[in-house]
Amino acid sequence: MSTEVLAAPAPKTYSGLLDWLTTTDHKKIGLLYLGFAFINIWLGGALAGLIRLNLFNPGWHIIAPNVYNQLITMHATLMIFMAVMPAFAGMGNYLIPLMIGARDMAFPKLNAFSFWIMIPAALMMYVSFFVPGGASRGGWWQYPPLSTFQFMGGHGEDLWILAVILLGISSVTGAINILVTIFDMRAPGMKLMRMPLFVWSWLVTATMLIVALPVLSGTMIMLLADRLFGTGFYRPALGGDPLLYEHLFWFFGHPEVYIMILPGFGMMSHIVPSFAGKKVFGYKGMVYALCAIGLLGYTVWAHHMFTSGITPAAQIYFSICSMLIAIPTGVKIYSWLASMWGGAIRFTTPMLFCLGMIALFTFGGLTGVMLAIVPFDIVVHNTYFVVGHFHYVLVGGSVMALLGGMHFWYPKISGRMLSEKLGHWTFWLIFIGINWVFLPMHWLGIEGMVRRIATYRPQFAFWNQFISLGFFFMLFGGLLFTWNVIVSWKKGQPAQADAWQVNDTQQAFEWMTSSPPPVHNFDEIPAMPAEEHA
Amino acid sequence: MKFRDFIAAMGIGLASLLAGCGNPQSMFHTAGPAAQRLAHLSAFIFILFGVVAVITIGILLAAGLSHRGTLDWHAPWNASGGHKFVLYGGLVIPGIILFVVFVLSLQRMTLFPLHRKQPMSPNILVIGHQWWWEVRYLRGPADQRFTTANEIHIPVGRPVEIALQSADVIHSFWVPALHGKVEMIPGLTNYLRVEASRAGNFKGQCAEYCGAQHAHMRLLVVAQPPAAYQAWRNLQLQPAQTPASPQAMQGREIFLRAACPLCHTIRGLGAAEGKAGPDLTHLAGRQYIGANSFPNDKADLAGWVTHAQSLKPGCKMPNLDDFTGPQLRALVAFLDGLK
Repeated sequence: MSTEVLAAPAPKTYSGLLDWLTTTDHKKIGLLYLGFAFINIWLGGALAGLIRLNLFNPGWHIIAPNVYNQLITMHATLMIFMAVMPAFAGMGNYLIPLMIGARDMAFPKLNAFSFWIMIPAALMMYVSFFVPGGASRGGWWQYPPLSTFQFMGGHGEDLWILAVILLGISSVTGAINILVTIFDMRAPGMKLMRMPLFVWSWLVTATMLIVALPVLSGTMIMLLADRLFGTGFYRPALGGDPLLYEHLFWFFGHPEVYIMILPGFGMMSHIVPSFAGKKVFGYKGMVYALCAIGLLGYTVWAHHMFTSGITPAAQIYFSICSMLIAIPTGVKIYSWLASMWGGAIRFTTPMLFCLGMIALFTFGGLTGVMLAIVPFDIVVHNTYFVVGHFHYVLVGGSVMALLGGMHFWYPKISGRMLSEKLGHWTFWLIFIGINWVFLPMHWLGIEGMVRRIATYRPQFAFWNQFISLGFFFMLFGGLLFTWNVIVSWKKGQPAQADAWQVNDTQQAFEWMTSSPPPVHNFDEIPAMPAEEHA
Repeated sequence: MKFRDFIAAMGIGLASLLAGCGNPQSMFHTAGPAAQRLAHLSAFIFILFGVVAVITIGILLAAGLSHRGTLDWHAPWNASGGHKFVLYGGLVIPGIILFVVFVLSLQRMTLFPLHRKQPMSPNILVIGHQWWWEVRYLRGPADQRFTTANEIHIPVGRPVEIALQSADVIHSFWVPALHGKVEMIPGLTNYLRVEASRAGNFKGQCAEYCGAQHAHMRLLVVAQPPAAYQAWRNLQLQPAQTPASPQAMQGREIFLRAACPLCHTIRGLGAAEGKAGPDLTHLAGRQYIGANSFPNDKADLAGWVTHAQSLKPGCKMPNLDDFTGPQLRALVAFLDGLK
């Protein structure tokens, strides 16, 4: 630049708690996001524990049906909106500027806003348990008319709707910030087609967020108006249409599924090649696959509605589009396999999580394709088969990828290594736990157990008890991970700048700067190497 | 075609083996042509996708375990594993599999007369309520029509068209032995054509979350040989029987004086014309009470009348617990006599 830098007043600096409350540093905000997700994954997990407790025996009413229905609604809400999404947002916040060689996000203050607006939303969610009538109990889909005031009194539901709208604002502003950062702040020479794949995955995810979340907000505002202001968008007695809500909700709801997995795909594409000692296989194919998933993700929503009586023409269309997503997804899975093929695999903790993710996600993806087949779907729709399927994708896919990513970038973030020994234990506990808990659910679905029931017929007792016991694998896995993260923060082995020695084969910017990175990220913005790699 | 049937038979055999003695709510425990075709396709899909999963995870293990590395040594970044690998694994093979599965599923699309444009003349209208099923038999002139609840009788070997509606929130009609599920959406009518190929009791369940007692919104379809079905039908057309014993007679008076008629109809019993709850005209002929949640015997009836809110918290039936012992016994004797 030829113009002189304007002399800005030196920003006020604080320390301690005030620093965390006022920070606009993308790394600190990223950590805040991760901490927020960490708290909520524990709360959501606790709700899951209560659910499994009530389902331990048929006919048990340890928990009243009305409370049980609050548990399932809030378990889903916490895990989706307040655990997985903020966790990926946190990783994105922390890593994207480092990966593209920027000093911060494009809009640091907006970044802080995106995080802090989640706090009132979270408080509203928590408080809703204690208002008369309790928390929302409409299931996270909130299908009206069940979610209208006539059938669901109390203001827990209204708090839920308002909180989700706030979370939507957080996601959209965050996504705009990330998108501008990616487009505007890349280091010289980093063309779009040379960006790290995690950045690419966030580019697609942010685009999806910007298109999908406002639809949810609008849908929810109409629902709120139906509840409180006497409108009838979804109330058949007033000329409204519950089917309209289903369409609107799933127009958001299905892209949401990809929003929750694509950043995980991005992380995988860094970790797998790093520990195979190779470069990622088929970079272009990976990018195109990400974009294809992002586009196709908008064309499939009504496969959640095959049993709602939509016309056969619509069923066939949505079935084809849903099946087509299997192809870019298959390209990604096989590209990871090809990235490993012939390489020398290092079985570090992050790599184990990624290998586990490939296995579990493949399984969950395949059951997903099965669900796209209309005649099969109308049999298992809304049964535990579906519960098993999406937990394989979300826990086996998103959470495993997240855990892999956290183990992988923890040395960069904290400057210390996590304990590999505890990491291996964490992996095996979680991996066994996921299969123990979610595999038999498929069987329960085939056997005819529908989801969202507070109690069940005695013929389903055995597998439900089996599943409930598996909860402890997840619990101990989670405890070990938490312990590992907390203890290693101060006491772990110091990490080098390139903690995993990945830059022999890659030129990853984030591993070039010190661990942890300085406030300004890089002393000197790294230069993109020449196009012909080694 | 034959090979596919063989595979399907194997799949169903395997599945029923796993199911132990055959759970009546399993998708593989079929009792009608529609469910059977769905089960065959499902078995085929299970095997096909099982094979794909095993192969993919096999490649993963092979890739992972064949070559251990150290921190110091790694393969050149462009080692083997050409584009063909991704081309076949990620594009060609999934493409073929998806095409096959899609064609098979198209063949099954004829099973669903779900779309509302097609003219229908349903035999039965089922209306979902929180949390029970109203069942109206529609065929024939007005004197051949009647209303019952929670238990649907159909003749074996004849297709039955069912219209599905809802009085309040979204429910979903599902009897796995007969067909897939269809939502019951307020303001809309959906249709389902079922046929039972053998006699039996087929359990069902509301399959769309519908509030507090979604779990206890259970359904029973009784498929009977045509003669037995006709006999059942003739009985249903009759008004309620006059109580046989003085005790039951007294129970009838109690029924009429208590809150019961506000919500329940008993045909032939003047004032009892309430529509908010299930029709009780032939209550004693049903196998279960509380939307197929509890057995229909005197003990459970007494418990239901006095403590419905403990058995099914949140349901519309209040606790009617101000009867004396003899009054309750008389009331139950009356209800138990509504054959």
